[in-house]
Formats: sequence, C-alpha cells, structure tokens
Amino acid sequence: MFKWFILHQWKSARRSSIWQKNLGLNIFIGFLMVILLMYIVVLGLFLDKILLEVVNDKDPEAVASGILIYYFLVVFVMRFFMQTIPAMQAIPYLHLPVKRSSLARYLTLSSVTNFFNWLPILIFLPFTLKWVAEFHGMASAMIWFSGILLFEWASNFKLIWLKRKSTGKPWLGLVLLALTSSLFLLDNYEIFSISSISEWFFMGLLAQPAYLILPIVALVFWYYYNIYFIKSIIYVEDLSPKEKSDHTFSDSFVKLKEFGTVGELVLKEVRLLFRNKRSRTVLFLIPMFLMYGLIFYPQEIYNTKTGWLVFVGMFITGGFLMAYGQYIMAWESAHFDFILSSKTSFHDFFRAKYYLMVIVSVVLYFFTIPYIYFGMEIFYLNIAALLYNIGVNALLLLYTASYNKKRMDLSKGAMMNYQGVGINNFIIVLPLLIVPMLIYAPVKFFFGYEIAVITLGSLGVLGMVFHKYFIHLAVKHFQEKRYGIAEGYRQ
Amino acid sequence: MMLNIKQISKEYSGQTVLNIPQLEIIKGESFGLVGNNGAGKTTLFRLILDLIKAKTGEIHSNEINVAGSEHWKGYTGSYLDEGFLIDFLTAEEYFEFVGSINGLSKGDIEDFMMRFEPFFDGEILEKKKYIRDFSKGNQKKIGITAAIMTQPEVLILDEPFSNLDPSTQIRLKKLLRTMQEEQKVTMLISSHDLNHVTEVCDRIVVLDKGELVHDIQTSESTLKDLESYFSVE
Repeated sequence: MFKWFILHQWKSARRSSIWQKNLGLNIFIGFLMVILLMYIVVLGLFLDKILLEVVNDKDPEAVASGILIYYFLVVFVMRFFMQTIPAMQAIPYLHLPVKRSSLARYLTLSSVTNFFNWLPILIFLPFTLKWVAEFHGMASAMIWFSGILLFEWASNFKLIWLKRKSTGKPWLGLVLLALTSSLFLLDNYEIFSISSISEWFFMGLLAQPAYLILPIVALVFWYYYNIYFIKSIIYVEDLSPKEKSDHTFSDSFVKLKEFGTVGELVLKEVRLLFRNKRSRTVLFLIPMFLMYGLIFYPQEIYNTKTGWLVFVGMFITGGFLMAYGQYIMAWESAHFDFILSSKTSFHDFFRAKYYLMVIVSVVLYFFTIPYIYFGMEIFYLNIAALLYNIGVNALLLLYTASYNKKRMDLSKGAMMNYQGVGINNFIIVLPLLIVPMLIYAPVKFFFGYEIAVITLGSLGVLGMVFHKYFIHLAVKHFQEKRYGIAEGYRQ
Repeated sequence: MMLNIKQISKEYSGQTVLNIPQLEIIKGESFGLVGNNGAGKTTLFRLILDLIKAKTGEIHSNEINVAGSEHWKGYTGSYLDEGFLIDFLTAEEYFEFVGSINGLSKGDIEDFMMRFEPFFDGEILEKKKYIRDFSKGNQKKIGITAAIMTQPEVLILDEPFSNLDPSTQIRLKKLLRTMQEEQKVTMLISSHDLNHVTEVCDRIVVLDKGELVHDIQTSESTLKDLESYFSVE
C-alpha cells in the first residue's frame, strides 16, 4: 500500500500544474531558493566564528545550546504559516479497502520530507563537526546533534497535529508568534530565562548521553499521537470542514449598500476577503506590513539612505493595496462568467475595487502615525507615499490586472502557495516600489527634501483627481483582453 | 426577431467545435437545444452571452451585435454553470446582490424570494450557509432563480434539469411554461434529457459535433423521432 501512496504523491507533485505551466516563475523561485540556501550554508559553515564573535565570555557550544530553544520556537512558528498538511489527499482512498491505520501512518510520515526537518543538518552539523567534536569528542558531538534533530522531528509531528486540529484558525499563528516574542522578552529582561533551561539540557547532553531519552520520548509520543488523532477524525467532513457563515461580522459592513451599485460591489469584495481562506491570509499579513518600519527606522544606516525610506514608506502604506491589488481581478476568477454577463458596468466594477483600496489604505495609514517617533521627515514622507500609493499605484494595478489570466483557488492558504501566481505578479510589484524611489531620489538631490516629498505627493493627488479617466483607460484595456482573461479563469 | 445568429463558428486549437450558418430565434419562442457531449451546446450559449470570442460571424440580440455591447445584459437572464454563482455569499446575499445591480428594490427582492419559497422547498433560505457549501442541486436552484428574478425577456439555461430532484424538476417545468405563456419570455434551454426538453420547448434543434442537423417544431412524434435519432445500434 505504501508503495502506491508514494507513487501517487510523486505523480501529484510531478503533474501539478505549477511545474507544467510556469517555467518562468519556477526559474525565478528556484533562483530565490538557491540564494536562500547559500545564506543558510554559509551560516552553518561559520556558525562557530559567528558565535565567538557575538559572545566572547562563553563557549560557543554553550551559547548554541541556549539559543536552540529559540531556534525550535521560531521554526515552529514558520512551519505553522508555511507547512501544508496533506489532508485533502486522503479523501479518494477512504472508500477503498485501505486500512485506516496505514493511511494514518502515511499521512503522518509523509510530513518527514519537509525542508525544516533537514534544516539542522545545514545549520548545526558543520558546527558540530568543526567545533563541538574537537572539544568534546566525536561521539558526544554526534549525540548532541542527534538531540537537535530528534527535537526538530518531534516538533514536526506536533505541528501537523496542531494544524489539523486548528483548521481554519490562522490567528493561532499570531498567538504562537506572540508567545515566542514574550518568552524572548522575559529572557531579555532576565525575568524568566528559558534559554538557560535549554543550555542546561544540551550541555548536559554533551556530558551524559542518557539525556537523549527526552527527545526520543517526545518524538515517539507525537508520532503515535498523530496516528491516533488522524484515525479518530478520518471522515470526509472532518477533512474538509464546512464553515459557518459569519453573519454578524459582515453585517457591520452592510451600510455600504446605501452607496448604490458601487457600494454593493465593495460589500461583495469585503465579503470575498473575509470569507475565503486565501484572501484571509492576506488580511493576516497586514500587521506585518505595518510593522515593517520597526525593522528599518531604528537603524541609522537606513535613515541616511533616502531611497530606502521611500521604499519602506511605500511598503508600509501600500502593503494591503499591493497584496490585494496584484490579483485584483483574479480573486473573482471563480465567478467571472457571472461578472461578464451581469448588468454591472465594468466602470462600476473597477471603481468599487479602487475605492476599496483607497479606503483600506487610508484607514491603515492611521496606524502608521506613531512612526512620527522616528522623526518628522518620516512622517511627511509616509503621507506622500500614501498619496502616491492610492493615486498612482492603485490605478496602475487596475490597468495591469488585465495581464493576469490565471485562475485562483481561494480555498487554500496563501503562504508558499503559488497556485494562480505568475511571474507577472512579481514583475508588477517591482515598479510599484522602485519608480517612486527613482522619482524621489534625484528630485531630493537637486531640489531638497521638501520639494521631493511634495512631488511624490502631488503625483498621487493628480492621479486621484483624474481617477475616473484612468479607470476608463483600465476598462478599455480590459475590454480588449477580456475573452482571454475569462478563458484563463475558466480552467 | 429576438436573436439572430449569422455565420457563427468557433475553433479550439484548430478544431472547429461550432459552425452554424444561420439560426433565428423569434420573440417568445422556447428553443430547446439537444446533442451529445461535445456537440457545442454550451459553446453556443457562451457565444450568445459574449463570454467567448467567435472565430467568424455575429450574434445579434434585438438587432444589436452582442459582442462588446452591454445593452442585452439588462434583459437577458442566464445560468450556465457554477461560474455564475458567487460562492462565498449566502443565498440571500446573492439574490440581494443580483437584484440590486439590476435595479430592484429591497421590497421587490423580498417579494420575489417569498414567491419562490415553494420552489426552494425550504432548502435554500435562512440556512446561514455559503453557496459553496450547498449541494449541486441546491446550487442549481439558486442559479436558476437568480437568472429569473430580474424578469428577463430572454432566459438562457444550460442543463437546468440535471442534478435537480424529481419534485423540483416538475416545479421548474411548470414555472418555465407559465413564464412562456404569461410573459412571453424567449427561452433557450439545453438538455440531455429528451423528455424534459420536448415538454418545455416548442422548437428543438439538434447539434452534432458543432453542426446543426435537425430543426423541428415540437409535435406528438418529436420525442420518438429524437429517440430514434440518438439511439445507437
């Protein structure tokens, strides 16, 4: 039986439409992956040097032992957002004479192929061989490393249990993130140090191999608990849970209806965003876009590079606009024939999308006002960036929407989900971020900061004043391309 | 004349899937389209609704070319497949949406839903369920109802009877006949079920591999003729 499962899994991976249609995108993603992998390999090779550099009053293996708990926690959160659980694939086998336990075992074991399970080999194995083996002997070093690997695998099985149990609750990821951050803060302010527990355990493991029992027990427990859990829920209705409608929630937006057809269309768009898994993930990214500034603003080095500040400003004030706007029409690919044959004019259809982008961007802007703490320069620049985003970028996205002909499946999460994504989507976002930099930087160089901010903002205001005309252009462009778009959305 | 189809043809990757030199549908006519899979029924409907681009020819609705114009959308109701449903709305929200973009008032929409309560058979309204979670048959009920609610002059339905339960099939037939008699609605209905289509339509057109092979007015013997045409021995 296992042979068949593996064969089917292989075929489904090989035959996935992503490989067949998207050569350009594959090359692009492959390229990014290679770069990322190179970073990881370099990190692994020089981990001993890095640790010596960062903390010089402690042995690197002790520092590493303390950090490990955070490594596990951070990877766990990343897994929560990125790792998919092979749930749906089980349905076609349920009515066949296949033993439930063998199906459950397969569903559990197939998660072992996940990249994160093997990441410790890249990051910690070189360090183990280069440094730990030299001071503690090869045998102890390998046991130390096995401890890391076994914990990571236990964490893998724990994660797939958690994800299965919490289908449709993406906010849980934010809870995990908050928990990890608060553990770090407690450590940082020396209230409660989880890293010292981690250090005690892994340093103990170096001296006493018997400590290895803990990760082994954890691994065995989570493995069998998964199988037990899957066997208990293995019904079609559990594997594809139905959602209750969120009447009370979307009712708070029904006032939009008072604004006529366009209001009605905006309401439909709001419901689309909140009621589909894929679009909801985009909503959960909004806080991350907003917090993007916290990474860059505190660092002097970025504040002196003005180009960067524009980039960050465009990203903070336009994160939603870009995440939503990239697929502005593709969101509706499932009912696109309805849109085409119904009485709404395409002008209203596009206007609704534009107003939604404007309203949400303006509302989100208020959350970025606290960045005033980092200086008035940033405050004014972000206003200009907001104006440019809603006056130029939003309209540009409406125009480029007609180049996207890929159907989007809204029932799957958005992380690492490249279904319905084309190389176009990456190419489109680049000018949205880079063009304002190219406008701002030379103007600032020749005429100074004020004129540069005013230029950027005025372009946005101009776009807003003439938005009806630009929407008209986008509609005309769409009219020419609509047969091709509808064709693409139908498959 | 309601619809005038002239020299229409459609190709998919070099293969002709539809080729109709001339077809006219007059106002108030109920037009049934039958044919095996791949005969080109859905393709013809999609061309009439301007969802795909014809290789040659034109389709005129009320003397105006449908391609690129929007005037026909106001008086044409249609339901071809799930692509016509907004699957993340509840049934009520969908009806309200369709009603309001067609200019119906809130009261009109509520009246309409009340009148359709027997057709829904208690399966559709107040279910607090998104359309995507309804069964295929109930989705079809929602789609057909939304197509009818705008009081169209032309109604286009692709396979309206498939997936429906027997009672709903009978109710739908009755409903379609009343619409023909009282409102003189022009109807285009495709079906694999020869019984249903001969009961509802005055005129039957048979398509085979994209070609129009029969065009007959329904009479006593129509069902027998069609059965003998489709029987393969």
